[in-house]
Amino acid sequence: MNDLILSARGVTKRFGGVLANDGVDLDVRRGEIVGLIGPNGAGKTTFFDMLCGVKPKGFRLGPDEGTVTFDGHDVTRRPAHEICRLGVGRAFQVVRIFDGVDVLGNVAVGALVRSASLVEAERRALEVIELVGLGGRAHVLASELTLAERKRLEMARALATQPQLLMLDEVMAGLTPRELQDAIEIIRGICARGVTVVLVEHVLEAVMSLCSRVVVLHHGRKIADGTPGEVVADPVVVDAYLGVDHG
Amino acid sequence: MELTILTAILISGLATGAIYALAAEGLNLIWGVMRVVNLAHGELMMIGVFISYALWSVWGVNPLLAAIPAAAGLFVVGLGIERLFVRRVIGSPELISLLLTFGISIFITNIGVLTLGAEFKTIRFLDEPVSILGTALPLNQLVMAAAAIVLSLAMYVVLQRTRTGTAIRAVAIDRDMAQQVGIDTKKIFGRTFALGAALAGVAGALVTPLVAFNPLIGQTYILTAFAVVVLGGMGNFLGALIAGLLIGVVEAGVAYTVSVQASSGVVFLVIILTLLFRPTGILGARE
Amino acid sequence: MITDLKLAARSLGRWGWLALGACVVVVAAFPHLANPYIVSFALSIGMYAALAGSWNLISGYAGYVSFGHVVFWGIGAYGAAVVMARTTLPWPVALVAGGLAALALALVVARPILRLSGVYFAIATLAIAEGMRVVISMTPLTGAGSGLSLRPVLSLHGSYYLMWGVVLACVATTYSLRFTTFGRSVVAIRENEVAAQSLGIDATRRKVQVLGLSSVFAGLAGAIYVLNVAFIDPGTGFDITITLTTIMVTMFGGIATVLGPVVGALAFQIPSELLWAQFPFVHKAALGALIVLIVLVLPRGILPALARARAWFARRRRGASVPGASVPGGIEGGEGQ
Repeated sequence: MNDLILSARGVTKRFGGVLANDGVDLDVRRGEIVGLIGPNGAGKTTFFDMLCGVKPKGFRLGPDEGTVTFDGHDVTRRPAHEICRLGVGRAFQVVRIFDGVDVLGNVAVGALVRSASLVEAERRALEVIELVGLGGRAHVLASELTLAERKRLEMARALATQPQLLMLDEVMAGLTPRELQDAIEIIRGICARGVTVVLVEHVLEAVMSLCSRVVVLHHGRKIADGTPGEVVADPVVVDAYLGVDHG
Repeated sequence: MELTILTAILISGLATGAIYALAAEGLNLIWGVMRVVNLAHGELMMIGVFISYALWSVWGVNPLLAAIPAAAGLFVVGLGIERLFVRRVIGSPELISLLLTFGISIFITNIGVLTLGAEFKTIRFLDEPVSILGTALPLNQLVMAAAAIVLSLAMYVVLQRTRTGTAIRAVAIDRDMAQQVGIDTKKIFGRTFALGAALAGVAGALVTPLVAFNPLIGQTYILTAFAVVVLGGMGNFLGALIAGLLIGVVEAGVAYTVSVQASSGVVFLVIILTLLFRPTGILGARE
Repeated sequence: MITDLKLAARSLGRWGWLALGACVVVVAAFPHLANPYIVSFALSIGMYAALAGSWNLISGYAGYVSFGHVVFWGIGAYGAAVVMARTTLPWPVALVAGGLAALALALVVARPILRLSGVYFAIATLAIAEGMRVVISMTPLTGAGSGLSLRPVLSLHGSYYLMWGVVLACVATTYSLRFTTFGRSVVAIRENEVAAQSLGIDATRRKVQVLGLSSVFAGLAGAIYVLNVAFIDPGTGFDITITLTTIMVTMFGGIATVLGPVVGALAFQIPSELLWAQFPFVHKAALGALIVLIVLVLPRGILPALARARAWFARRRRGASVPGASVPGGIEGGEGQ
């Protein structure tokens, strides 16, 4: 039980007629890097929303059925800010950085949750900024960053909340090969510091080199769960991606 | 409660409600198609009221007929406002259009007071009471309400059946796609705003024999119009019709049972409660 | 909090404190140097500076644009008026009552309406202001439709000092936003509320706090007003023109800037007094026309436009493309949409 940092059971979510998540189970052990993959529309981001307490617009907070347990706490249907305080950090697929604020200001907001004062928050923010390799850009306005830098800022901000579990949603999308390698190194570094990571990814290279385990979603259901090697060879997974039925 | 009182509430409520609905249809159209929130809509209605009043006092034209020049006049005014001001904020956040039309509204209201004076005026047209289902109501209320409903439905048909109407609905659903299929969105925006203004103008003309009015009357109707749009669902034409009638009836009910003053609070409650509990409106937003 | 506030104070620097001191001296000495008409005018400028500063907090910094802001001013005025007219308590109690009344209203409506956003929030605030007007005009305690008359309590000078005291408090609060977790959280909420929540910020609680803070300044302004003018009725207390002027003043000076409200109040009220204040309806019509102009031409206001112009000139002088100078925390200049 202590070994499991996150445990989702039977998570189900309906958006009107669409069944976005259908009884999804997921166990994440401390220190793992778990990959969450699946064709577009498989329900990955929705699943993240369910785990992190993000309320989909126009619908209720949290899963319709199922439970989510984090670090021994029941976080089913708890709001995002509470889940963050418990130790979950989230980087969004479509980057949600504060455009009008500079890099330091952005990351400092993340550090606020664990700091008594803004002074302290900015100090921690600077450390995190170094960690993700944005060191020289601390005072640049977020709107002026390159795509790769924006993704890193998104990650840095989530890291600043000092999470035990970091949920990364497609942080590798749109990166050049070198930027990709840098990002992979950064995530390895994060993991080395004891943070458990779950990542949604399409970039297979990242998944293969980083993840100790891969979970596959298709049409809202979990269809595979194993090592990267196992999953990639699984015929069910191959079918899903090649589209036996077009979802 | 006595049946006669209930019928009185129902009939007079539906009558005022029909006018509310017509007044709001224009706002609804503009909001739904252009994503522009026209806070000046009440003032457009006010202009219609005064066109009708002018025609009545000078040539004795009855308000039903005056609705035609009112519509035409407001159509032109609408085109002008769209061209000069509204066009520049299409695509901006709705709040910007709210501020812009807020300014236009205050401007028109006060120019109105300056040129026409703040005294209340009335006209007397068909105000003989008529007995309907046991209660007595002024004939003009029934006539105007009937006209309002007919016009609302006519507008609905125009939107569903004519080319311009279809183009308008296309632009409302997906602006970019409408452009792809060759619809001149700029022209449609102009026409939509003008049409919305015309509807307000007609509502104004119809309301002229029913109430005492002055240039500030727009400020009273705008909140009601918002209540109708919010309750009926933004962009939902039929929803606005039903919402208007409902609000009219509820207002009449409160006026009879509590007080007339209290009834002016109905609109506020409708807005708040709808936004809190069913923000997409009773029939759902978007047509 | 204390560390942050100390930093805020230090950040002013020698010149900053000097400038502040100079302003305080000017404001304090002013009534002794000018005739009562001008002091009265300065009082009304102060009132709008306070109102603008108050509106700026919820609309500029938090990004929840209110179209019903007059309601806090009106409730503040009524709170003070009721205490003065119905009890024999001294005026400081009435003043506090005004502030508390506005705060109470804010806390009651905050949670429900802050769930809305954008236009819907604006309309809801409009509806609340109108609703309060109706309620007040039906309540005997508040004098119903005829309003309340009080015995005159505050002298012109007294009101002037109190009002500008409120302005100072509001400006100081706004300035310190940049340096506190509260302020940074609020700006984060404006920039991207979902992200802010995912970073551990309890957005609902913060928004309620901002609205409460905002309401207090507006309520105090209303209370001081009524203690000076000695009369309030529903038409005045919930007059939409007051909201419009407040918005105008803030936009003119610069939304989400510290000095914008004061600059706007001065820059806006002085010309308008000279030009149209004598003619009430002309005045209001001009107000309407001006807001149209501002929305189309200068939506961010004078101060940010000046800042941009300054930056543009600086870039041209340097001859190279220098990335836009960023203000720490990015607090200034948000559109507040």
